[in-house]
This record gives sequence, C-alpha cells and structure tokens, in this order.
Amino acid sequence: MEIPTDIETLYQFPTENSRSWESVLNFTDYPYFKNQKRFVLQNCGILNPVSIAEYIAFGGYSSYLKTIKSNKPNEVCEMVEESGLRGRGGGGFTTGTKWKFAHNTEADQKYLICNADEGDPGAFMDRAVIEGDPHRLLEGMMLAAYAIGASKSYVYIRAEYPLAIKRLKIAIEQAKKYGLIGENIFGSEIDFEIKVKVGAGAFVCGEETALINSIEGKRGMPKPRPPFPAVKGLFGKPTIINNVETLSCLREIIPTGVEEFKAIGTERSKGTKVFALSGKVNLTGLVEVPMGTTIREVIFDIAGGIPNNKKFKSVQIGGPSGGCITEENLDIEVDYDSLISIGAMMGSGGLVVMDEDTCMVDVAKFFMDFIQRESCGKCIPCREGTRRMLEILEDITHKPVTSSENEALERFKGVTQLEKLGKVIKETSLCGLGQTAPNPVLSTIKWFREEYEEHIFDRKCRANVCTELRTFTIDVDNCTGCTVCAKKCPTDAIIGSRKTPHFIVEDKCISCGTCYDVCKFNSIVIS
Amino acid sequence: MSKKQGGKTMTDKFINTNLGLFYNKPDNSIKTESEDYKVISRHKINKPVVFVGAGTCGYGAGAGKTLESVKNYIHTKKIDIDVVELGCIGLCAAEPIVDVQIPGFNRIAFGHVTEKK
Repeated sequence: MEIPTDIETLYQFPTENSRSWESVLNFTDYPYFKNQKRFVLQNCGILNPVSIAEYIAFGGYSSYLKTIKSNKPNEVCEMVEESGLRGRGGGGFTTGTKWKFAHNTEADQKYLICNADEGDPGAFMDRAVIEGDPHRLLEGMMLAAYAIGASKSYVYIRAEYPLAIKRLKIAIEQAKKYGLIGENIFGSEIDFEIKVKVGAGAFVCGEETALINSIEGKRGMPKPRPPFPAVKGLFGKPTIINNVETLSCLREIIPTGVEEFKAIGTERSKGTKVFALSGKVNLTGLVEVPMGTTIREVIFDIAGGIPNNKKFKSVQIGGPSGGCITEENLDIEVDYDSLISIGAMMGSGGLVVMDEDTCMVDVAKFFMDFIQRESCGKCIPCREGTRRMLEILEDITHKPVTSSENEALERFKGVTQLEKLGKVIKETSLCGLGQTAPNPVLSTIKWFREEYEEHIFDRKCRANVCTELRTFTIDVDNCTGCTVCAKKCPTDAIIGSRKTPHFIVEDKCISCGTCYDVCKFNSIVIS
Repeated sequence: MSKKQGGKTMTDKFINTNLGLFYNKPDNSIKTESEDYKVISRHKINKPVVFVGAGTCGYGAGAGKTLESVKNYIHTKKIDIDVVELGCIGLCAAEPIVDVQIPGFNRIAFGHVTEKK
C-alpha cells in the first residue's frame, strides 16, 4: 500500500495492531500539534461529532454520571474553585466562586446559561468546539447545572453558526434518547433540561445581563449590577452564565482531575487556553496551549510565523475589547493578569496577527466602526463617544478637503481628544462593551503613537493602507504616453496627449491607485 | 443501510451498558478489550473509513465539494466505505483535511484535498 505522491500528507494516528506509514509523522509529533496541550479540543476533528457512542467510548459522560453518584453539589463547587478554573469568556472570574453564589442562594428554580454568542471579530473557538465535540459541552453543562442546582439551562448561540446549532441539536436529541437529559436521570432524582436559544446577532448580547434580557424576550440591553445574575438573573432567579470553553473544561476537572488541572499553567491562571489564530500568519487555526506559554511560541513555533518573510508588527488579542501586543512584549506569558498589565486582555482568545503591511490607525478604525455599530445606545458616552472617536479616526485617515490652518487645528484637536474621550467612555459606561470600547484606540496610541503622528502631521500612511492619504504623481521621464492610466482613471484626473508624458490633476484625484496598478512602466510615483 | 440498522442495536447496547456502569460502579472504566469498544472506537475496522474535516472552516475551504466527490466516487465504484464528517481539528490552514483509515493500517491525514480523490 503506497501513499499517492500528488497529495499533501500531514500526519497519522497510531493505532494498536496496525501498520504505520513510513515517513509520516505521528499526530503528536506533527509540529503544529507538538507543543499544544489539547484538553478542550482533544476530540475535535478526530471523533465523529454527532456520534454519542464514540464519545462514550472515549470516556464521555463518565465524569457526569460518576459525579452525581458520588459527589455532593457543594463538593463539586469546591473542586472547581480549588482547580483555579477562571472564566474563559473574557473577564476571568473564578468559576468556582461564582458557582458558590448561586449554590448558596435559596430559590425554587435556578438556571444555567451557556454563552455561545461569540461575537469578537477573529474568534471562532466556541464554534469549533460545538461543531467538533458538542457532547463535551453538554457534559460540562450537566456538571455545572448539578453543582449549582439548576434543572433548566439554555445555550445562547448566534444564528450565524448554523452548522454548530445543527450538531448541538443532534447531540441534545441523542443525550435525551439515552436518558442523560430529562427527568430523574438514572434514578438520581436529578432533572435536567436544555433549550437552544438562537441569538439574533447583536454583539452586546454576549454581555451577561443583556443576554438574560434577550432570552427573556426583551431588548438586548445591559442592566446595572448588582444584583449579579448569580443571585438574581434570568426571570429573577439565580443564574450562572458560563462560556463554552469554560464548560468544556469541566469534565477534565471533575471528579478526579483537579490536581492534574492545577499543575498546568501559571500561578494565578490554571489549565489551558484555546486561541483562534487569524490574520497574517502561516497556519491559521485553533491552538490550545497551557497558560504561561508565550505569544511568541504560539505565533512562531506553532503557527509557523508570518507569511512571505514579512516583518511582524503586532497582534490584537481579545477582539475589540482587547489591545495589541507588540514585538517587545511578545515574550510575555499568557495569563489573565500579565496581559492586563500591558494594557491587553485575554478576552475570548482571538489572536489577529498583523504584519508590516498593516496600518494601526486603520485597525483602530475597523474596531471602532464595529463597536459603534454594536453599541446598544443605552449609555450616552458609549453611544455618542464611540461614534465621535470613529469620526476623528476617519478624519485623520482622509485627505483634508482644504489645506487651511483651521482644519489642521481641528484635526490636531480631535486627536488630543481621543485619549480623553476614551477615558470618559471607559469610566461612565454600564457594561463591558462600553468599558472596553476605547481599548483598541488607546492601545494603538500607546504602542504606535508615531504612526498616528505621521497620519496627522505628515499625512502619510507608512503601510500604504490609508489610500486617501497618498499623493500620486507621474514621473515624466518614464512615462511613454501609452494613455492606459488616463483611460482607466475613474475621475478623469489624468490628462495628456498620446505619446507625450501625462499629468495628474491633484484636485480631481481621489487617490484610488488604479493608475499605479495599470502602469506598465513604473512611472506612477506615490508619495 | 441494513448493516447500519444492525450496527445501531449494538451501539445502543454499548451506550446503555456503559452509561449504566459509569453511574452504578464509578470505579469501573471502559473495557477496552471488548469487541464493541474496538469497533466503536475504530480500533478495529472491517472496511475503509474516510473522514472529512467538515467544520465551518472546512466547508469554507471547499469540504462540501470534497465530500460530494468522495460520495460520488464510492457510489459509482460501488465500494463499501464509511464516510464520517468531522469537526475542525484546529489546523484550519490545511483544510479541507481528509483522513483515511484502511483496515490494518494507521489512520492518515491529507491536507488541501480538493475535489480530486
């Protein structure tokens, strides 16, 4: 048996009593997977996601059934607290402590909500976990519900993930069929029910109080806390909201994995974290590494660095709420607290890698545009402030209409306001969206101030991304007068007769760059 | 299809027995030497299995077409092969990934498998 040569071979999975393929690396030795520690992702892409039998064959649901037989709910809360598991959705609150609030609150009904409303641009770990191993999430939810005493639970998932919703629903049906979901599970007098609630795609509904409003059928807007949802949440009952990744970790911890889990990671952040790598990186995808791994290892050792030998510039961590990490901070160990110390945050775990061709002002503009669209409008600083921040950023990435001194002053004033405005929004907003909204701008100003200054004073974008700042001229020595540029120019800004050098009328030019792209004689000069 | 029906009852038995064991005898672990286990965990297979990485990233890279052509191939050649749709293994850059397991050999993964076989 031979491997066809015209196909890219990746790795093989060693199996008992089976012959191995020559010169093919084992899965665990394959460079991309070698330095990973796969807890949450261990079955993803290996087991059939819609087969409960395969999941059970690899030990699935044993954690849950053993736990409800031999452990009390408060013991489970203790175990999770002891393990040091912190919420993987962004905030990093200790999961066990949060559970205890709900566990200790007396109520006739408690709820568990799984937050699968993964809205950050560049984050897709939750989607992959649900698509690849939905039973792991269900088992995690069962464990959490048992610990806090919730008999009803919801999965709040975005409508943008149709495949994940489909597979999750199949998994729920299978679990129901075998008596894992329903009333009086295995004669233990425990009831458990799961409902899938499809979100309509508002970013703010990832915030827990807004999410609760959304499930209740109200408008997705945050509420002031306290009272915290753990005490008074969905329909006024104690509610625990955990992220997909947090819940998917649980079966590794309960009932016997506490010590193993504690041994991984840094002093204050335990376990592993899944990162979604995207952007200018050779191997985009999902990476699960122990806490304490450096960002450099993730990007360069695991994901193979930056394509086309470009220079690394920065990596945006935590989506629109996070910040950027520059070359000098690449060796920082991934952990909730160390990331905050450099003005970034763990967030949900999206890593967007940027190379030297990326303009940081443009990145900030992209995130501000996202945030100002997604602001729910309840708090004025967030609603109006983010809009104003976007306007300022647009101002400095556009060509000034006139070159009057007044306008230059306006631009300058705008920028001095950016930082102040950011601070006000952070301090006066109700929910996490507003409190972190200015982060992309503040963080890029902090690390790439000189790029902002270039945009403002020199009207220049070093990465040539802000196209409107470019000025095009024709090098008369090179121009052969072929008229191609004049024909292609969308605004008829290029004049000149055939076989004589052409000229660009600056007032008409919109800096689109078409002439630069079509010129065969390199006679268009960008400055 | 008839074979699948037969497989299902065995699967049912396997699931019910093991879940019952997990609950009633927490110290017990799965019997890896049992025949059911070997079949379900694919430690022992009777016919080739083709796994297609079909998460959203896989579909984005063209796994839908790959899956279709694999099924067509099997249909036209009338060979008995199991096709399994997987989630994402994490190496989204190499999608569509197709794993092939032939009886007696290790399971092997191929990257960037477009419509060709």
